[in-house]
Amino acid sequence: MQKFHAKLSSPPPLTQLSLSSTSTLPYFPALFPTPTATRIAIKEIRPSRERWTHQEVVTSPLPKPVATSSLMASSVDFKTYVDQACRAAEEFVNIYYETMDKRRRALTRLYLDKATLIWNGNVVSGLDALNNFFDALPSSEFQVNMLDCQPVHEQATQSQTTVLVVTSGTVKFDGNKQHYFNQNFLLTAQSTPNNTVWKIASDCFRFQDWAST
Amino acid sequence: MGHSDQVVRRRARCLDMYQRRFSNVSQPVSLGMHSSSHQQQDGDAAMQGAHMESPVRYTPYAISPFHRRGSFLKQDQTHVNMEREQKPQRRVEVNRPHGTLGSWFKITIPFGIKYDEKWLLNLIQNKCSVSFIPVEFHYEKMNATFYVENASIASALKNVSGKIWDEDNEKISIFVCPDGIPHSVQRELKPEKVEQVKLAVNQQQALDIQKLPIYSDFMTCDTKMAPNPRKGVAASLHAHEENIPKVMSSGEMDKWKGIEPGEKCVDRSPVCTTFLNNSSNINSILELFPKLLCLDGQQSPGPTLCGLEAHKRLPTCKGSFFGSEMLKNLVLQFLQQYYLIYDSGDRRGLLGAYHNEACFSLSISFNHGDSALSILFKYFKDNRNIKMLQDPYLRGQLLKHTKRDIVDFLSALPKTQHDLSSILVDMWYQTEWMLCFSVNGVFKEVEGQSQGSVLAFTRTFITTPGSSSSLCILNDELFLRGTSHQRTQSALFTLVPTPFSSSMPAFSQEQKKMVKGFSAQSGMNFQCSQKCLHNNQQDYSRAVPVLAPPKVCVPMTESGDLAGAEKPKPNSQS
Repeated sequence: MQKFHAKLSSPPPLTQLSLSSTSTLPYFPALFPTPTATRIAIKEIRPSRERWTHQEVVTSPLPKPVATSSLMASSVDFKTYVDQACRAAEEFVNIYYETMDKRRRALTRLYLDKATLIWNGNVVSGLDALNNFFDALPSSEFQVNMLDCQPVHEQATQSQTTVLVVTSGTVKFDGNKQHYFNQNFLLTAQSTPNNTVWKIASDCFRFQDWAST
Repeated sequence: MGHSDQVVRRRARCLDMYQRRFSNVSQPVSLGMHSSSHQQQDGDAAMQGAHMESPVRYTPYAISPFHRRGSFLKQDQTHVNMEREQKPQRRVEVNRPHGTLGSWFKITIPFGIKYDEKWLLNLIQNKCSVSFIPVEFHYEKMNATFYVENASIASALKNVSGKIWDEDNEKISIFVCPDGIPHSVQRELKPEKVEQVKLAVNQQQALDIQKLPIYSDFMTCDTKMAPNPRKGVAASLHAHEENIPKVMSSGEMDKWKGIEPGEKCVDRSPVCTTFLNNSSNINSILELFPKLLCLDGQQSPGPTLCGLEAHKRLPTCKGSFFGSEMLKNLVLQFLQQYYLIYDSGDRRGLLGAYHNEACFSLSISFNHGDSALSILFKYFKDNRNIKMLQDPYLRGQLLKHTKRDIVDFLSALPKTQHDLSSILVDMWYQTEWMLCFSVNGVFKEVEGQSQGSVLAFTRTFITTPGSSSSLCILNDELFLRGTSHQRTQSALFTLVPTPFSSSMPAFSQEQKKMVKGFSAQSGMNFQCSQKCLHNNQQDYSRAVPVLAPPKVCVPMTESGDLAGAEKPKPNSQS
């Protein structure tokens, strides 16, 4: 039986495995920052002087991608990625909305430096702008009723492990009536041997108000 | 296209805003974190550590602008250093003929950062019954502020609030705070004023620093000092750490511990740059004013008066967002093709749209008693809600993988008709290799038991460039929700901004009057009223009952384009 635990010194470029070849023409002018394929410098987890020990979204280390073309192997990997994505998404959503409601100032720690937010069509780009934006937003009470997630295909992310998280529920901003909302995030993983830290690369939020009130 | 012009204008405005926000180095550092004095002080939780005993729910904004991190702090520092170099620390004894205390007013325009200074001041002046001289106009965070020196002027300005509009037809508010003192004035006040103030303050129970004239000899600008009691205990901003103990010893800190939230005071004075120097720390102030109970707390004017809560409003909901005109066309073209096939009755054509290893999942949301429950029932078994679903096996099963599985699944869903004229698209991420966008809209099921019923959807696509300048779907997430008031759906559709732009016809005087009346009655703003009437063919009586039942938030559109929107169904209203 073929072993699926080949230890590699470094992950192989996954583009070798992708079934369709695309030319690397810069088809889309990169208006938004390109996720880098190299490992990003890991930010130290803060010592728990903080009341919340999980200020960042942390999960177990990512499985190393295995270089094999066996379909079975890739389906095993895929399931693992799905599991990983689900765990990250769950953890993330708990922390994100708790932080948004109760510790708004700490919220931007969950974002990458160059993250972008589209909030009901308003574009907010970069940590500074995000800080200002969240400061100016009235206090919130979120109720998340739905959470779904998918691992993002590596062809899009150039082997930067990424998860698509989609949420829905209701929110009440201070001084405003309650709205239904839909939100989605792109979470990218920053890995260390011991754990994986997930950060928001992009965030899209919309009220959805043509539903039943 | 009108829409794209507006996108361009909006982006230019955004750029202006950011420039104003970050290049305003010449302005005094007013860290007016306008927060309600009623809200519990809640600094960065890192700093609270063990001190947060209070069971009161946090509301996160109560203070201190000193918690700014990153470049903003650095900015302040550079600015402040500049100021120090420019002005001598000694008091400048200038005989100001009208340098009286308490006659200055701070005028705040919430979200004023959107507006150009000259334009804004002209606009206000045109509407204001008295002419005024704005002193120290600057942008504070999202607001525009300046000072005026006279109570009657301030009150005249206050009257202008809500009577001026910007280019997007949004009302501009003006808030007046009676205790502002511009910094240039502060520095010029004579020494005998100090005595006056001492006497006045001693009579008060609490010291409101806002009312104090700030003298440069005992308070200098030093961004490193933050008289925030909480920071004395645990500071995660390293800049403050070495200085804080001098400001407030831990003994003094304890004083704050047991105080009720209402009493805890927030150092949020927008006027005084209350940065305390190492040499003249807060103890000297306490000596001067022995009855100090709190800084800037109870005695200050209410938040609404000062406009402290004013800027905490929700940003306007805008229409679709695309990164660029080219991408907009690309995405819209893709959606048109996709839904053409999707609605055609044979979805196998979608095989060409998906990547071989694409993922798809479906999720739904409903409330008990939801009239759409029966319609959504058929989707229950495929509903992938990770929040509710704990079983990893099922979580895996419900995620469709590979294009064949996906298209097989989609083909089994009821036949639909999507209303592309009413969709809202957000393009939220884009690189060389991926283009991500979400589509919000409604569709109708045109077959099966629930024929005719309307569902709302949000569909999230992650795509990559495919062959022949098309998009190839890698990830696809479909979220469904029921809608109520099925009959009125089509009318509602017409109010949603659409990326497919067109122009609004010119309105006659009579029509305008009608719109105004309708606006008042329906509670919508002028723009939306216009559209609603337009789509109901100026039949006022018809439009009102159509809109009455659901009170929805109508996203305001920038582009004002709705022609091509569905007319209400004949049977929607009698």
